[in-house]
Amino acid sequence: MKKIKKIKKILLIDDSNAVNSRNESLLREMGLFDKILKYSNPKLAIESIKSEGNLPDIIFLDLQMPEMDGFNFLDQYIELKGVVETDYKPLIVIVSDHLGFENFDKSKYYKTYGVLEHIKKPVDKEDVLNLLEEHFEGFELP
Amino acid sequence: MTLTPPILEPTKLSYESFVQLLPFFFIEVKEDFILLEKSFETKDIDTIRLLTHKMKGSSASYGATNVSEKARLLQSMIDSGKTHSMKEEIIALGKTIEEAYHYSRERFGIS
Repeated sequence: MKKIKKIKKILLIDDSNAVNSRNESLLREMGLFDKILKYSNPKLAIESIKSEGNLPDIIFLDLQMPEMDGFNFLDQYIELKGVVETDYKPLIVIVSDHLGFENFDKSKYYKTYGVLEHIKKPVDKEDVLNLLEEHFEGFELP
Repeated sequence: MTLTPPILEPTKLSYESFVQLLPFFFIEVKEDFILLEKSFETKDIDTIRLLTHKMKGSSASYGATNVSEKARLLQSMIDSGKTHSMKEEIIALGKTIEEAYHYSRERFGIS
């Protein structure tokens, strides 16, 4: 379990700007995150991680997206590990209303890279609190 | 009008944030619907699939359950290959979006 005082950075990746904005608002209301970054284009999320040079603490990742889907994002993300210096793996949460057997099987491949959870849309505060309690020790509640 | 109203619960957004964001949801879902209609004309099933999935998720996130359900129906129609009545379902989805929009204007005072 990661020991962390507060969640420094979370990435929200969904092709819907409306969903990203809604989830950003929800997370801001919780007051547990320093930086919340939204990407409707996963390619830009990859570029952002590259340019910032450090990984987020959590990634909320939609699967079905045009141009680059969630698994394609993960394939590129894995390649970043050799570029970005880090001594921990971000928690990657697949956010989708229905994972399905095929996608569930596929997601198991990425488990060692941090894909440890799946939550259903819409994300709610209880989901987030459960994730934090499960995977982050010592985060500060407001 | 027999709509299921958007549901706000304590584990979800505050009322203020919800009302502030709602117009952006409708801008997006209406734009997506226009793209959906165009994709239907060009028989671009893959784009229709992506758009219905997107609209299903975004409308669920804003509690527009009627819209989400219509989008889900359309998506399952595509997934099962039963596309003969897709046009009617697309029209129904468009009507449901408009109903949800007008309801929201009255209920939440959005423009």
